[in-house]
Amino acid sequence: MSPAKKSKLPHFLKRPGAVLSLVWLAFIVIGSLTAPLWVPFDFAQQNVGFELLTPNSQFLLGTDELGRDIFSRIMVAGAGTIVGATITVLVAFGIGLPAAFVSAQYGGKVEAFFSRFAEVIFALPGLVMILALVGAIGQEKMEPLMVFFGFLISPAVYRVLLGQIISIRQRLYVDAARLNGLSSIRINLRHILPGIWRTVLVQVALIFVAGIGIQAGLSFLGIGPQEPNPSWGAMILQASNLIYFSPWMMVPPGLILVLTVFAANELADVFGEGEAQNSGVKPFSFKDLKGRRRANLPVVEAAPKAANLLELKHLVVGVEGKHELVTDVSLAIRQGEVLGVVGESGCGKTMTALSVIGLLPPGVKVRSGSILLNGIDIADWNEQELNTVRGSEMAYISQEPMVALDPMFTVSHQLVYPLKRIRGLSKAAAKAEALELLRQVGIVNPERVLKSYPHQLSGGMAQRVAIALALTGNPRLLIADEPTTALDVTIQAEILDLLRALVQQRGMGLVIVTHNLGVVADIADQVAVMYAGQVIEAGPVADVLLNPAHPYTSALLGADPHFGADGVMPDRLASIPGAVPPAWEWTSSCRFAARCNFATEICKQPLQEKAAHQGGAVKCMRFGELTLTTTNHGKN
Amino acid sequence: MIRFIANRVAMALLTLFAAAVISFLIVHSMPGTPGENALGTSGDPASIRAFNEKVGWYDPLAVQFIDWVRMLLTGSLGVSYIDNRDLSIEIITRIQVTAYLSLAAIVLTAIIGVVVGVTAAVRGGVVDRILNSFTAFFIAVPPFWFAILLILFFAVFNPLLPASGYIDIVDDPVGWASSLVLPVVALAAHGGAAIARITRSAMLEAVAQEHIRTLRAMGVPRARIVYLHALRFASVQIVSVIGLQFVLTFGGTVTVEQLFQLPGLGTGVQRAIGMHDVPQIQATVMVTTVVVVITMFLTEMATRFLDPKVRTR
Amino acid sequence: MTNTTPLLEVTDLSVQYGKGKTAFTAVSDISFVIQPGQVLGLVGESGSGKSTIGKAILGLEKVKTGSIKFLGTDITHDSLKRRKKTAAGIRVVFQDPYSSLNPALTVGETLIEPLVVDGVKREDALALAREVLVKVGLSPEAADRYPRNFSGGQRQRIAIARALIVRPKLIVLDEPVSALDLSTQAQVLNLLADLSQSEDVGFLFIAHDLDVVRFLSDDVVVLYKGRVMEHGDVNRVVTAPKHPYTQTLTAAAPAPNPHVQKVRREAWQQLQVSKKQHVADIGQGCPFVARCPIAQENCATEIPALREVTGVKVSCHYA
Repeated sequence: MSPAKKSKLPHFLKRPGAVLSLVWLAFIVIGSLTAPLWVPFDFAQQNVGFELLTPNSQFLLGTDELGRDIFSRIMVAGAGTIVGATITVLVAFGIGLPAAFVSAQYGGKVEAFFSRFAEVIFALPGLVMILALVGAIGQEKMEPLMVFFGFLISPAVYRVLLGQIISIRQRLYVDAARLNGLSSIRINLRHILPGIWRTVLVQVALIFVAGIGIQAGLSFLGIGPQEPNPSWGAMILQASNLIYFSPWMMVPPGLILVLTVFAANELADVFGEGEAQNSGVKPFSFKDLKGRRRANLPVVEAAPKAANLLELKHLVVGVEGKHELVTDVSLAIRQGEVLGVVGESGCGKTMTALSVIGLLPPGVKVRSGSILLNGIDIADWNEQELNTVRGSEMAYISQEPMVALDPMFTVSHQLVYPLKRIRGLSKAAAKAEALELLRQVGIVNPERVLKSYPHQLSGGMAQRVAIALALTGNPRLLIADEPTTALDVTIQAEILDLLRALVQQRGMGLVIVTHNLGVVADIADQVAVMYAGQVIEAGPVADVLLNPAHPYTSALLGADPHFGADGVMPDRLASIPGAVPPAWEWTSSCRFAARCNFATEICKQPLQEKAAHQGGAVKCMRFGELTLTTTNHGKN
Repeated sequence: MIRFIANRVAMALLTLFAAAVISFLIVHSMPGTPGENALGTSGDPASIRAFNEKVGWYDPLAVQFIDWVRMLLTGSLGVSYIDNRDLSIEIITRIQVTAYLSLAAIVLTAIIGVVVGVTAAVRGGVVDRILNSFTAFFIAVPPFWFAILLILFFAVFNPLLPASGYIDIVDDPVGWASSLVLPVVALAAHGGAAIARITRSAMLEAVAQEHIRTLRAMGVPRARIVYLHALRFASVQIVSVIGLQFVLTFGGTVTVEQLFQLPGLGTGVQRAIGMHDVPQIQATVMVTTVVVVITMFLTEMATRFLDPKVRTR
Repeated sequence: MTNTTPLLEVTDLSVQYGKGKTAFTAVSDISFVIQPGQVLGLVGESGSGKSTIGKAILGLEKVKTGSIKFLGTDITHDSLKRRKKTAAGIRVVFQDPYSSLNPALTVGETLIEPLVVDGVKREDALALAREVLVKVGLSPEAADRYPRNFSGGQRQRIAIARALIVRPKLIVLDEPVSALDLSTQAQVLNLLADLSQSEDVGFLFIAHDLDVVRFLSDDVVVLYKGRVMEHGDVNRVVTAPKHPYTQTLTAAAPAPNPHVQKVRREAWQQLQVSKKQHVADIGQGCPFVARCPIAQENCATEIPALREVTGVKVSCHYA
């Protein structure tokens, strides 16, 4: 079960800074609002003979030039600041929040109107406008100024929330609610508000901070509570005038201001972070680019030709300190051969591919086993070491062509650099070669594409460019991770044609990771079927797909509705009950047994690999006893 | 592109109009009449009346507004009610001080912000945590308070720099520069911390992009990935936030000007408020709005230029 | 076919996005009929307008011209509010099982939402929700849990349950299995096939995969760039496609059986070779002209009318 529900508060409290901030803010808010009841001195009480003292047991934070207790004054002053900042928050949200909801709901002209309005208000010089208002209403009253400030800052609330609300409105459950006939108010309350509360909290904290800041600034300019009434800003002003006599005086009001703002910012950070955390996996960071090249590193390109271009031996990949993601995978591929790695999601096929090119996600590591590239083990190579073989010996094509290319640079820029770096071409030669490569990957108008930015290309074109990029270093091995999954089926067929042609022309080895058995049947020579982190069946494509030896392979084939024009469409598809077990539940016995129609007691014993097909293998305890057809699997 | 610029100009005019209307309404709700404010409430009622008549105080508000806008359109900012100063000259003199201050501050802000932000993101670990605490602290510190601290250390304890006052650049360039050092540093510490945080998160967002993985898969060296591709990706966000920070700095110099007694727009408007000098308040609002509008326009042009998706549309 | 009122009758439907210069016609002149209990497949690649048609039927997209009749009532321009009366029998299952369920609500709360709006008592509605959950192959306790506790396939069952709970006459299935893995896809397809038999409900099944459509549908409409290319009995269309686009589509989808795939691949390559002759698309003729293996000059200038060829409607001059 996902920990998401439980972590809402505990996660928040896990950060000590957040707890301290919350405690501090609670102290300031409650303490200052109730200050007159408990502070040791009246804020205006002048203690003759006790002027300009530093902290002592009687005056906790010292005294000012009139002998007034600074601690008492600060606490009393806090109330006004808190109230003022709260007014700002209320006004800013009172305007910004409904405006955002209305804009998001009606869109079009309504949204254009509100957004234009927000833009204009946002561009007004806030502090100067507020000072103008001071001219009109006088120096003493802070509250009207804070109302005005709330109005001036409301566009910030509006913009952020509008973006958030629009993105939530695009979620399908909102459409579903609309189709259920819910009123728009109910949709907003029930379906949208719960999705934006974090953002609201972040904004509340930030506007609160802005409110405190502007009040401190204004009272520093002598606006707001007038003597003898204290305010934080005025106390700093007072201190600045006495700086030669009592530097200490500036410390307490400044520090209280800093701590309060700091605490509110910290809370905003924590709320914001929770937002980001909900969205998923750990991203790559700069740490992942580090590593220094060792001196005695073997050179892959100079190595004598090994029998296998790439060989994985008993590869184990796992999350650091946690479960395995790939268990004991062995694979091999020769030059000019295509290996299909096929399986459902969560079976470790992408992790296997990423381990070869050294791009496993942060926190995921190769635990044991070897990755032999042309006979040399690169399993423990760091980033800098891998850079000696990436691009030149092996290249990688990913699933999403539209985001695989750098959106900020032209295709030309992206192709020319590796041609210069890896192939040592001059700029002119590299340009010419880039054009030639684009032609080779079947781009009709290479001159134009060369000048284009990635966003100007269609998905199919972008994938061709990504393939051209992968070819710039003349690699011997190409690793393609679901290269056609994001594409339309006719574009997929074209890309598969291209990959097949490239393998034939260049004699490259191609590892193609896919969930599509048809893609394997189309392009691969060898296939490895993965299930729950293991290769459960491997061998030549025709053997495995026509005479599957593992019940999972056979069931998968039965679940595939692509029977062909001559095939008879069955009434029901073969389907495997349940789902792929999550990685932390993987066992050393057969991981498919729980879903298998043929499982017996023997399947609870440790799983063994058996030779099958021609030079292939199968991991099934009952291999040899079973007669598998694609239809003898139960439905549901 | 032309459509975009036309659109922006229209929005700029709208903003100026809004600023004009709001400031006009605000200052016209001031207590007393211009005559009373200029000549004192104890002044001769007839000359007060004459003064009010001269500035058009008895005309309908709309007429006064139109007259004022008409005057602005001729390029004049009017004259002070108090001492008949030509406000165009007054504002130009004052805006120079504020402009020097905020331009120097934004340059320093940008440098500090980008260097610190990139370092925090790229180095990570302890360096990141230390820099983060610094930026979190300086964001929370109001510039005027930090400025007092600076005065304490660099003017009081070690009298290296002037604690207040302004020297004109023409009179004494070195003196001018040293009179700006502390206020600039005070402003830049706060702004730089804000930029650093955004830069850091923009860089972290950049390095997590899918296309960075492609670059790594091609064996592109680390330095090129970090300082060309990631920084280029982050640049759009960084530039736009620097523009915004300039607006905030320009509008927020008031407290620092006050502390260092710099004769900028801020101290000017404060004085004008004290004396109910309506024309100067209005002139300051309008000029500041113009600066804000121009800055936002330039920032938007810069980010559009930096983002190929927008540029090539 | 029969003389009962059709479940859904779409006539000359056109939908346009944007206005003025930037206007873009997403679908043009689409007509089809779904009889009660029938399954119609709507197939096409991205940009074919298949989802737009679904949205127009659901009332989530404005119709430019043409009409949509549900059980004989014209609902073309009905607001969502009005549809509570006129089209309450139309429900939907979306493609993305993750964003289609509100993570903040329990499955039960999500399911009973339409009932509670109509004034059904909470307990009665929840009891019904548990029944429907069982019908889609989940346990009744699922009602008390949150969507995050379920896998993609299970979520899609929940989405189907949400559609079923109001006893609809028509469910628009917008790519309901595209986001699922093969084995879960088969489970959901089987479930839909079961429901199509056991319940009195018709499906508009939107998909990009012709073979998936073939499994579930009676008839199929093949779309390309917002126009109908071919329309007829699904087995006929798939096994003997008349339109060159349908032929391309069938040949492009790879089959897991290496023998079958070899035949498909050869057919595909044959089409690719012929495609080389290339007639330029000037935006006035058949939308498929630029990629068509058999295009002639007039294909670029005349939009082919939908005509009957051996029992199937085809929009091609040369089919």
